[in-house]
Amino acid sequence: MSIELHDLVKRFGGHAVVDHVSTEIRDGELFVLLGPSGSGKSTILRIIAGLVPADDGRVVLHGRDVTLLPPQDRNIGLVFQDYALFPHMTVAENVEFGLAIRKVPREEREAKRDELLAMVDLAGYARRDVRRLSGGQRQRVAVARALAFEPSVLLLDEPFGALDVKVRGQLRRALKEVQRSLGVTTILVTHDQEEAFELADRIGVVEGGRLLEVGEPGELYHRPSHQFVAQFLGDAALIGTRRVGDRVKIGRLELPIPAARVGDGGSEWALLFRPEDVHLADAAGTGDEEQTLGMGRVEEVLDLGPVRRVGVRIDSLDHAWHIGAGFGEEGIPIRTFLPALRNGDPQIREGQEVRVEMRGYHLLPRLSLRVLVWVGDDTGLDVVYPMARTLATVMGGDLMFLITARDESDGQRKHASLAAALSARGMAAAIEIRYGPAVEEILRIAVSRRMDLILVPRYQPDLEPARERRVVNEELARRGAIPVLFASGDRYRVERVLLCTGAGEEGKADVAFGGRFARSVGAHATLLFVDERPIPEWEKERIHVEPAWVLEHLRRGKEALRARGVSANVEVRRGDVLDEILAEAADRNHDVIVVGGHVPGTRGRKRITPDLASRLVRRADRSVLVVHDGAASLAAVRA
Amino acid sequence: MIASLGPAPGGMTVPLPRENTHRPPMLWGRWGLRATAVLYLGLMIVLPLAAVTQHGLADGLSAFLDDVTQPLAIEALGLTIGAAVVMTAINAVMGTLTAYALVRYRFPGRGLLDGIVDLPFAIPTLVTGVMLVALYGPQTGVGSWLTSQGLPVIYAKPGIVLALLFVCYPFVVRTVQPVIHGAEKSQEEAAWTLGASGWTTFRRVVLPTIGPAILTGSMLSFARALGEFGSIIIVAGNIPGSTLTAPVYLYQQVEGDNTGAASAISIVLLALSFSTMWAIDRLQRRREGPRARV
Repeated sequence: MSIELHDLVKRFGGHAVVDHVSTEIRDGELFVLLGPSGSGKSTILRIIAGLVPADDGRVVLHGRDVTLLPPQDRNIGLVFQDYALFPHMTVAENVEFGLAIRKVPREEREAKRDELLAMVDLAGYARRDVRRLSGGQRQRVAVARALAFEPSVLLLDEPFGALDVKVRGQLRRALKEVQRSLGVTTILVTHDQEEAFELADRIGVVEGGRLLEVGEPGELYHRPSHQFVAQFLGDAALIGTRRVGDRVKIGRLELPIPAARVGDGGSEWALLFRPEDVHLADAAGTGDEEQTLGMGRVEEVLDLGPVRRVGVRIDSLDHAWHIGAGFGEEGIPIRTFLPALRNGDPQIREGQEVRVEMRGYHLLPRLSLRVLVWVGDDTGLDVVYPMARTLATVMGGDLMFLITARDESDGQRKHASLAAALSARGMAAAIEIRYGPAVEEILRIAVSRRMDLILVPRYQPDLEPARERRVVNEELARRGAIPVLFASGDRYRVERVLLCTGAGEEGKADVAFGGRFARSVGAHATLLFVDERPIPEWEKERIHVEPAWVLEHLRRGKEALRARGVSANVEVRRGDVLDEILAEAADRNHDVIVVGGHVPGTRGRKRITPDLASRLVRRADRSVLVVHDGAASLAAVRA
Repeated sequence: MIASLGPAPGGMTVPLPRENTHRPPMLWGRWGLRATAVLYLGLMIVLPLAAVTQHGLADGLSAFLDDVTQPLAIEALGLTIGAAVVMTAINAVMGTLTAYALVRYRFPGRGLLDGIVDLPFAIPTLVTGVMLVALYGPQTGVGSWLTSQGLPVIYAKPGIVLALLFVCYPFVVRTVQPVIHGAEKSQEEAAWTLGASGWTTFRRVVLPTIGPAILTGSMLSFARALGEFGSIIIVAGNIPGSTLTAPVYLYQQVEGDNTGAASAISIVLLALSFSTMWAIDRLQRRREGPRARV
């Protein structure tokens, strides 16, 4: 192996920019690190080059551990995004720089320089001023300079980013040729998936500092294991579905889970198909029932020259939902390409009904929910246990228990007691001990381990006087950058979920996460809006009609839930927000109340404030799920 | 075919405004402005320059040479140039260092340091002199200790250099700083990955980029140092033949009603300043213009 990365970690200000990255890159391979901007791919490259020290982990080049070596001693050629040529030197001086540093004799240096300039098609440019070169020529000088001293590894950071499209195409081919002829192991960083597909022997997809998946381009495109990879590499339709035995059901279709993957994943799977997997047929004709996904309506036909892009929307499918549906979005959008229209081809028009057939597909397991459970004292487990069991079994949740302790003996005692209680209930889960204030430790672990949900026992003033639990409740309800479920210990089944929403705000995170929660546990959702404005005297006798914008908001919220496969109804009440939420929950016996607030610092005015969430947790006599509109909770929804 | 199209759209019949419609006012405005600028420059700068040159050479070249070659005058001119050279050398190194640290590193107090770099420009030079006397004067602890070590500062040559260093401090920092800021950090990183050590990188990559700026800053501080009067008259002690600088010597000639000699010294100082300015100008042209070296 030319390059081995072992568990690399880099944090900037407590935030992991590179998060436990490990991989191996083969001799002579052209490996592309692909990811959106800010995903940490360039930082990985800079760690390999030695320009950024890793906080943790090791870099091994050709069997030599270089983790602690400065960039000078790593024997690496690096091509920067801005090329970083030395402007006061000629092309020749730039290319020879690495050789001059190594005290290579002049004749040898010049021979090497001419050889490389010829290779990058710049023979005869040696005496030129680098400032007078075009962008493409500068880039080739930078490649020649990085290769001149025969480095063991070549690293390129977005080398085509600053060039126009036409030059880019030529240079990609040229780079691939040079790389092949020298056989130098190469890592190229880019955000451009087309570039990655054209150049790569293998691609590693990076997101949020993690190396999600590594594979050959075709394999990643057609058979990704991660939803993000599926969506990042080209157009993708992703439909959520539930598993029934070793099959999944989508509309009238039943698709087998590939034998190799039957053991994977939880109860939810995603069906992926690409534009080229879709076939549109005449709605009236008798298509292949085995392949028919459903009937759809053409929404858009866009002439792109050689192809036409066709957008179709399927109204709804039984047992299935659109993953990543926008707030208020209905149905399942599907995109496909048709060849350019030639004489005699059948027309396709917007508004036309079509039969959507699927000629190929791929099933990938959805990531299970990662849940951090904090029980506090010995009685805490009893309170959270019913909900924890529901999350683990019904939602396929991945539980981790956190113990916060004053000192080592306290920690050991709590650990022993919790481990015994868990094994008595037949539940296997990881347990971690932390020493420090409970709230800080919970939030720290939840953020650093990318938890989707925090589960804590709800504080019940009349039952026990646990002060720590009260503090944890109040603080988490206010500050939770991650959804927090405050569990009451009395309900084993979650059949009804009450989603409290304030009109006039997007409420994306609470509806989206609450919807996912309701779907996973198979509950019915009620979308509640409380109108707080006092009723004018003259209106008291009349039947009150809510303003149109409230009704529109509720309609969109209901659509968002339906698109996630949740059955939902809408309720409107008038009066004090807190009183009415509690009254509604009691009247219809909801098992969980979901409220959203917004984390301080995010924009927009919210009627349901973090403070209200905190008071609701204290007063409710049932479980409460608080989903603040913060970046972390939105990320959790996408996962 | 073309005829059938009829007249081209777009109003061919409307005459475009001709130049004669607004030429005269522009002529007046242009020449009026230029004349004012030239006249102002002439009255304010050229006329006094001509006057001092004429006055200095009024009694003939031999009288001028006599005035300039007075032993005290030569000593004073030598001291002024020598002190300026020593100060410029120190300032070039320390100013570059300061500028590099300010741009490339983050450290506590960086913002404060960046803010007080310009302070010497704002402090009256006489006050600078008083400050230095207050710190290094013979009656202070620091001053008496230095004197006992055989290194008196105030009323001695080191005091002159010290005063000049203080007064000229901002020049190099402020000319070099923007150039380092503009130079890409990636060039240094590229040099490292190519195997160059920190020092080699500075010498071969950073210095060529900022070199002209260092020279310009140094020249500016040199030119400024030639004429420095306020701080020096307080710290130098003005012992003729030892710590008497050219501007102070000049002042004494004026006080002694020896205006001919004063003008003669002025001409020498002017010539020095002019040649420095000319050199700076040449340097800047080279920096902006085409490359001289291949």
